[in-house]
Amino acid sequence: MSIRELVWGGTINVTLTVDQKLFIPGVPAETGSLNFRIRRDSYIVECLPRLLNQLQRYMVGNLADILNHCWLECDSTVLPWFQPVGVQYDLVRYDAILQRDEFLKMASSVDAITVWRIKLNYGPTLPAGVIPLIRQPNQIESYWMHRWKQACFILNGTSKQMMSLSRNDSKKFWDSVRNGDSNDFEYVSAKIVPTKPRMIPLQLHDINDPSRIHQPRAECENSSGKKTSLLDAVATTLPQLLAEKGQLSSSTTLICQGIIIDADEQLERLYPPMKSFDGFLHVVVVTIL
Amino acid sequence: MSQRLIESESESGTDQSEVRDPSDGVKNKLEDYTRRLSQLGLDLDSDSNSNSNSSSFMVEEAQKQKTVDHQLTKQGTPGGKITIRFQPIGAISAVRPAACKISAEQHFSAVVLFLKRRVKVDTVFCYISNSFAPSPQQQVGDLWRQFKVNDELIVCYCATVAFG
Amino acid sequence: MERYERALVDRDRAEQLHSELFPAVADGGLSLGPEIGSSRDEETTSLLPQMRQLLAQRDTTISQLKEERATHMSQQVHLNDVILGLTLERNVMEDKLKVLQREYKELVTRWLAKAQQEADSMNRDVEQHR
Repeated sequence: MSIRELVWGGTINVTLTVDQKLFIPGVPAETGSLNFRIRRDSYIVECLPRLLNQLQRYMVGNLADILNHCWLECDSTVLPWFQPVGVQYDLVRYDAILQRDEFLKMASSVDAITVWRIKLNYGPTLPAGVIPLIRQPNQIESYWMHRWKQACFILNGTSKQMMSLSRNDSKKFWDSVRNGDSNDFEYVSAKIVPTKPRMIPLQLHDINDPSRIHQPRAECENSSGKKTSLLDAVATTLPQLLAEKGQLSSSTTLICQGIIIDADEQLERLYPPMKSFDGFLHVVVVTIL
Repeated sequence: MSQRLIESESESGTDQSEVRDPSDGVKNKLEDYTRRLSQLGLDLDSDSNSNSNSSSFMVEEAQKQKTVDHQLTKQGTPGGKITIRFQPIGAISAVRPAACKISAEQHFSAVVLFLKRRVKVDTVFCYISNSFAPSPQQQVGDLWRQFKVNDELIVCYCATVAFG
Repeated sequence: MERYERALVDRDRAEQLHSELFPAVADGGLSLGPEIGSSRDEETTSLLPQMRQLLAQRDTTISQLKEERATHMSQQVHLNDVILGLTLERNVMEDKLKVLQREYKELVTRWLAKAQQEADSMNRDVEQHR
């Protein structure tokens, strides 16, 4: 399988526990526990209606009201719905990624399983910083479209390629994300992503400050013609992570799509296979303090 | 899209058991408004023309109470502030002045909130470079560095959806 | 890039262990918690509409009661304010009454003294004419 196919096909096992407040009194606690597998390249909140439909007969209130007043948490950390599942997972489970080799050695001898446990909370007021979902599902699709417009602008210097997609192609594009259809996705994204990008849409996520999203200006090459690397982008945005001689400090690791990436990797080479379904290259910066 | 992002600015109800002096209510509202302006960290150009006396008073108060500038280590944001130029689209009223300075570390949601209050609308749709709506969580400093035109971040705004 | 291909394969090996127990969301099938006994499940299912209706009614009643309580509280506050105002007014009136009563007493005393004086003077005149 190619890198692109592996990136698109990556999935995570999830156990979602739904807030007991949403259930009719007397329903057993285990009823509110859902096990499912979700693609790293998707928004978990987009799947919520489908997930909660399974439990609706046990729940109080209507689905629309529930979705307007709920949010996801992992270990008391709020998971913002507008980030890809893979990025959210890497931000909270980076330790599993760093210890993957040991885990795989151990997993061959014992019956190990990797499950991401998250909770769906419900309340009259959302926690600070949570963007309310008031126009489901259009709001998510609209948000994702604007993400691609921004990415298109960064790649091409204009959003024309994205804005001139036919209605059919736009629908195909979003449906490909919902249904996990990589052929349709690659077909439409090829019309947007140029072979020689102007700049790379890049977002850096720092585990020590997960609410702060860094989006540095990442040109493919600098004025002297040298190709920009991931290290160059980190250096402009998080210079405190650099050790002497301009290299990344030994306590810092860069993770993209759940694997460790070399800091010297050229952005122009990294972007095409490793970009997320929202058009951005998401890199999680792990610094063990 | 971003209706309730700035949680600290929620409008809490008054305690009905308190006996309030009516003049205190007006004074409290003025103080509250200036506090919120200073939280936005918005400065207006000194040669701006304000339409009403009360709003110019608010601006002066905000400038007096403005927060300390954050010194950024990032390139291109002298004094930690960036300039935003607002361009109305369609029938929505224009913001005066059209250019404002804002701390680079503010989220884009602060800009949206500021526009809603200045233009006195419930909903406003904001776009960068007449193209896309950025995520409310994105920092204006990052947007400015990437999409600035003549050292200004152009934010177009409209009362209805303008760009898909 | 080949190194990344191997790393992604390892990633999937680690993250997709026993993934057959976790149905894909897109497939529409989901694995819920432990199975509930089928007969009990049927009984619960048949009661559900009534329970939901009952719950909805209770919720409506609660919200109505909360609104009434809020109204009563605000009325109570208003009444307290009125009582306070009236009490203050009464206190002022009482003070005024005391002052007026004092003045009245004083005036009555003075008038009596004057009447007495006139009566004495008239008596003296009468004595002289005899």
